Amino acid sequence: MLRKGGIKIAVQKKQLKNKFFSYLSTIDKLSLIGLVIILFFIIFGILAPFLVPNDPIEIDLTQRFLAPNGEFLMGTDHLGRDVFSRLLYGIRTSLSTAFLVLIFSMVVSVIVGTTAGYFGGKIDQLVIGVIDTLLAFPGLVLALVIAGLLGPSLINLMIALAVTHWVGYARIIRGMVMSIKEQEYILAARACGAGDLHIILVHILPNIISPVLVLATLDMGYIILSISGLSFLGLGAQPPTPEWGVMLNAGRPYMQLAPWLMFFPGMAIFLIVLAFNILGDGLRDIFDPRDVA
Amino acid sequence: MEMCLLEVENLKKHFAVDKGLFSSSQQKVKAIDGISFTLRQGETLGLVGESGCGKSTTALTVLRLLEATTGEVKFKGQDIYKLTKKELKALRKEMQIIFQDPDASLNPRQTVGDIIGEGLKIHNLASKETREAKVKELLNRVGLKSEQFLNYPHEFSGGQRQRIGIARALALEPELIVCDEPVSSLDVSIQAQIINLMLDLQKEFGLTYLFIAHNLNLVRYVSHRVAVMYLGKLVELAAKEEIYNNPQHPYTRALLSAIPIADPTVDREKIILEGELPSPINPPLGCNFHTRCPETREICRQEEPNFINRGAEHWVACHF
Repeated sequence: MLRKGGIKIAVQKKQLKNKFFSYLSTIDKLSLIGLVIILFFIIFGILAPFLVPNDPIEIDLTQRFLAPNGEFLMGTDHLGRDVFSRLLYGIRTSLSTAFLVLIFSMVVSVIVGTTAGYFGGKIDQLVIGVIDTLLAFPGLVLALVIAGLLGPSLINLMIALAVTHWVGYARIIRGMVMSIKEQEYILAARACGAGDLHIILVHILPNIISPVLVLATLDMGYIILSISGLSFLGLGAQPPTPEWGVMLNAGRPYMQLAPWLMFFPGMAIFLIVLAFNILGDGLRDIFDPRDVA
Repeated sequence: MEMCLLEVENLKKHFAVDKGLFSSSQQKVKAIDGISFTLRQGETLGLVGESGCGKSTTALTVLRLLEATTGEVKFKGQDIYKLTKKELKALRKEMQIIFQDPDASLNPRQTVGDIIGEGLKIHNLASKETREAKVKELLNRVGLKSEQFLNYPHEFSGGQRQRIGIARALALEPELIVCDEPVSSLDVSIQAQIINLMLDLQKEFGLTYLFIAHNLNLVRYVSHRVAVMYLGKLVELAAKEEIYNNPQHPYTRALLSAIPIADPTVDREKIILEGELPSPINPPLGCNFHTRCPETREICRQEEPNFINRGAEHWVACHF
């Protein structure tokens, strides 16, 4: 009897697992390409130390401005460094920085947005006041100011981006929480004696998590772009750190002489941002609650 | 006489209307405006009335899922509005609710097992294994398959979902269940199944129902006593046969005359009510039904009638 029950549970668990994969298989081809590109970048980033043919920061003035060839796949820069190696290490910088900014923004905005949306009243008015004020500044310009005040470094850039970035999410999450808390299943839970924390953890967060994930994916591209942009302006990663924005800036004076200096980092940024955007679009399609059935 | 399980005394719920920045007067929607009734152990009290008369607000305030403006709700003699948070939580085991829309009342991200077992978990009433066993038992009891406990609500039909809602309400073994239009969103054939299930459960567990509906035939079928509500107030309350055979309030008479009869040869007088339901922000002075009542006289415009017992526990709020 017991064994039979156990088998049944195992079967149901397997079904759940299959459901997850069938879920994933509904993703459209374009988004799959996005996902593949992202995984590609991530794997290359992780394996960078083993893959790079040359030291990314070693200067060799005898080999300046070499065009792409068998030894230097993407050529060399004005200090004779291998562009390909620098590009691979740049994946680490860009993705990890963007990821940290995203995690920080998510955590802060989920806490702030849920609190404001769920409890409402004075807390909500205060939070929405702060959010509206912050949203009145263009995000990138505000980040520029903060990064400028803190001094140029990758850490400070991350702080600047995170500080400006949680605001938009918090507002969206607040709205989602406000609409979910009016659902009857919240009342039913309260009728069972559920407290606020239980309702938030069991009934509200699981219902906002998938739209938030979609938002995060769509936003990852934007954050990567901001990091490269601000680094390009000299406010983020500092030379000789291999970072795509820094590489673009370093290559700028030699654009006509050695176009590969800008072409490859530019392509890398373009590809990864595009990949995150199309993946985000695809996720939005499958997580749309109306299609869950 | 049976024991009084629930006593509602002059319960009021007013919602403030935000009129805007430049308005000084604060207007109020009087969703329920002083209603009193009792509910005896094991009986079903039907509560009928048209849309917007405050039926659902009554359901929520009686359970303190919505704070009342004033008034008392005594459950087994204890005023639930005077309880501390902790005491209220303990009391919640005894009173449950079934909602109208099973779509909105089941969390789409929870499995059926989690939905039904939630109360048991919150009150720490059972270990994981006994909880699971109990959930399966409940699923069987409401006519679903016990192996469906890992499924999600969207995998069920409307009638099955309402069964899940009923199982959730039963899980804590309550004495009182407030049913807020439990079958209004279902097909007629399914309605009958659900109603019969609810009646069976009432017999089996000795449940007391506050049954809110707008279908008068349905209310007649399930209730022992019936209360009629109009614009936030009770206008008539009596035993079922008494109210259907001898309606005293003109509004009740109008409602009853509107019940369709499945026989075209039957000829009867229909009372057509003129006009619209007045706004609960600005209810009429005097008797709040006087704007639509076919028998309005001068006193109706001046004085509000009291809710009076006219003998044999037949309560009416009318001057005549």
